[in-house]
Amino acid sequence: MKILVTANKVPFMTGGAEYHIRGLIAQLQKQGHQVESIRFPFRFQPESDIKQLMHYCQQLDFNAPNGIKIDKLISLQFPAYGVQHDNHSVWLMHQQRSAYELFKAEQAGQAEKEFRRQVIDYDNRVLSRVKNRFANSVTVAQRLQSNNQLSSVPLYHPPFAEQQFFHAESQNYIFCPSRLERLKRQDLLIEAARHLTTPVKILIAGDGGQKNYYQQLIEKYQLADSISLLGHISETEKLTFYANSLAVFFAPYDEDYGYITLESQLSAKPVITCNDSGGPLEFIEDQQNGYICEPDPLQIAALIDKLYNHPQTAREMGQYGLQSYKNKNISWENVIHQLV
Amino acid sequence: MKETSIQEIQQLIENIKLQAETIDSNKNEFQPSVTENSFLSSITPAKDEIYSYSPEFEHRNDFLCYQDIDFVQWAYKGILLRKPDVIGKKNYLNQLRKGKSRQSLLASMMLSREGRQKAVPIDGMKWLLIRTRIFNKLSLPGRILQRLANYSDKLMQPKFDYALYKLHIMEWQQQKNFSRILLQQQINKSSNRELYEELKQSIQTSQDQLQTTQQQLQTTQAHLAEVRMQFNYQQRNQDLFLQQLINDNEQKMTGVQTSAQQQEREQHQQTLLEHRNDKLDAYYIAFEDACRGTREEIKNNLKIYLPLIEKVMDKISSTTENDIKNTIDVLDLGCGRGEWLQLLNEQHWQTAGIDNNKIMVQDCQNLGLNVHIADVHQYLKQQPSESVCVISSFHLIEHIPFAHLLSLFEESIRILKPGGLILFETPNPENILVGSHTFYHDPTHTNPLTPTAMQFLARYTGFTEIEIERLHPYPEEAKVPGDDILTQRVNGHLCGPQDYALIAGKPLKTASMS
Repeated sequence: MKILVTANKVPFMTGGAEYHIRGLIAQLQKQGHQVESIRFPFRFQPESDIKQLMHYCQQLDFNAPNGIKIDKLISLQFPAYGVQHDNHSVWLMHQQRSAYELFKAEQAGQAEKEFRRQVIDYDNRVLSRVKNRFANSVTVAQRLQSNNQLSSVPLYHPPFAEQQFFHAESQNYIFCPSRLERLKRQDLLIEAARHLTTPVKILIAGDGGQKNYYQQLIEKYQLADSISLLGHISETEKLTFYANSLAVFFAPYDEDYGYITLESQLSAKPVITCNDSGGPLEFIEDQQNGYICEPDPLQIAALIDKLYNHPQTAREMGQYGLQSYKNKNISWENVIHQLV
Repeated sequence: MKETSIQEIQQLIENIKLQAETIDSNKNEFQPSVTENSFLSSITPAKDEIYSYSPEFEHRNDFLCYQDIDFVQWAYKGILLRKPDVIGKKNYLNQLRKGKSRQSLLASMMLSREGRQKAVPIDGMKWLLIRTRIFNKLSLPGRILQRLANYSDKLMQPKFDYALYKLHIMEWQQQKNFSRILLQQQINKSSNRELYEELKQSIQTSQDQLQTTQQQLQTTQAHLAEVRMQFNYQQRNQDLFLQQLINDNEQKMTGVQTSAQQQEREQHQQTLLEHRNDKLDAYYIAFEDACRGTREEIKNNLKIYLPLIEKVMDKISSTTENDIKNTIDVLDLGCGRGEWLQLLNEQHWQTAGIDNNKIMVQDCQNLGLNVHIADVHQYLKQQPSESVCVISSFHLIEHIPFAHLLSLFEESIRILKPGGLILFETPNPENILVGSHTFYHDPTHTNPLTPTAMQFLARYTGFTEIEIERLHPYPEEAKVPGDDILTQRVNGHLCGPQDYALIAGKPLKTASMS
């Protein structure tokens, strides 16, 4: 089958999306399909750029460009999913978040409101003409249902290099890998560290826009002896930090999917998350394979201390996490089977 | 306190990173970058290669560092100097596994008939040999003593780390493989080098050849230019000579008295002047040679008209009396190199052709064709009425000014027998490329003639059953792909038929009236 995959490209910004896109293409090829991808250059600002891209995408017809018939189109991202094809599947990573769950009506100016109206109109139009709709997670599917009244099937996929995760005897630290951004809320963990009663350490990996802010916060609270920002770490280092950790803290605000939950479970580690974290809540059962609490540093600190004081419980929760990941039967084979 | 805590966390991070590094380096070790099967098989040792490693056996302890089957193999090699036979090996192995000590087994082997023949000296065996001889002599107590001896032998055997020894062998084997890889690499390198040299050599040869060819080409071109210049000089010389003749003739003309002589001179003068036009003839025949295609190709193209001619001939022969003498079946105007006439002659029709190109006419005559040099306009005027069945012309009418063209049609209908027809082929300007471009390749063309205009001209001059046959479209692969209206139109105008034939008949009625 000739399959075209459309997605965005944000140059030199690697994150979950990039792994997701490359993973899909590689797996389609592995199944013997002829795959090509079209990546639209995407800029978050200014909004007029996004509007132009919306306008451009919705006019594109990929049924048989230049007389070459394409059997199947799979779109992953806004606004690339606006292109046309008779056999079009959208596997929605997320929508334009600034127009939906991150939109704050009271702070928005006229331009933002107009942009939001246009995005919603675009999604309603282009997504309703798609043959099959899938979502990255239940969270994303629910948003699409409540925002645009469009149904979609949640479809999980495994994280990158799934088989390389391993488990080791836990050492006394909480691991927190993520880009250092406000939405990932590493500051909740830093605040929590002030209230810890045990000598547990906190290791935060990743780079990002909030690095200086978080570093200042650590210095301000004089937490250098218990928290360390690791910065960028290699893939193997990431695996090893997961493997040796006591538990993982991952409590972003309304995450779409979140590889980190799955990666923690693959390393057999419990996850502490918050009740407004979105994607992780689909995988964490409170008290079973992790903890779900309010986005409150005090509660978080209490849970970390609890895990420190009961390493056996932590180990068991981790093992149960690995089991619950396996029970979900997440595989690329299944994904491709459903998509194609 | 604080300082130590910070050190502690740094230590923790360092430990984890070190662990990661170890994983990475192990990964490197166990993931060979070269995985090609042929390469791997060339470095994996063959199974029996282990045994080609041949240690020295001088002392009994040289044997005692081996166990079980390995021990038996080496004992054979060291004492009997051969590979073990199946039965013998099984026998010794059984004894060993039933509890016989290796020392006793060595002694037994040395005391066997074969062992005594080979008589290999082994240090440290003296006492063992004596002991075994004694035990062998005392049959029952000997066996009991033998058992005791087996136990004591096992207690006394030298401490030896078999695992370490295996490791040693493996290491030795790896080194051997490694040096083999190095050697292989060296060979590859040198053979690559050879290949490279060979390639370089052949490229150099090709380049040399190319250069030679280019030089030859240049020489040929220079030679050609020289010939052309010589030819030019000769041409000019002839021109001058011709001019001289014309001038002479003119002078003579003024001198002569009688009108007969005068007329002769004038005719002579005319011929001389006409001869100047022969230059144009030479150009035109060269042009046709270059552009029109081979004789066979043209004959093939013209075959499509044969059924038509046959039909007309049948029609005329059935309606007219048999006064076949002195009539021409097909008259071809502007017959050129005579391909069409040749084709018709093959069908045994009476043909005649005219052309104003002397060289072409000469060529046709040499081929045995009935062809004359003549001007079309004048020739037709001289022909009797109703004397020809078919008048054909291929790519002629676009050469003629309109006044003569009208006359051509008028004369044609006069000359044709009733039921006869004209067949005039000409470039089709409906194809834009023909009308705007290819038509003008020929400098003697006047203007393109449209099918509509020719149909009207035929009707006007009294022809009936007028048809236009469109011919020679561009090949399919030259067309723009697609089937929509725009593409069809583009293809129609740019790639459509490049020629058409006007076919028109002289009505039979005229015959009955006259």
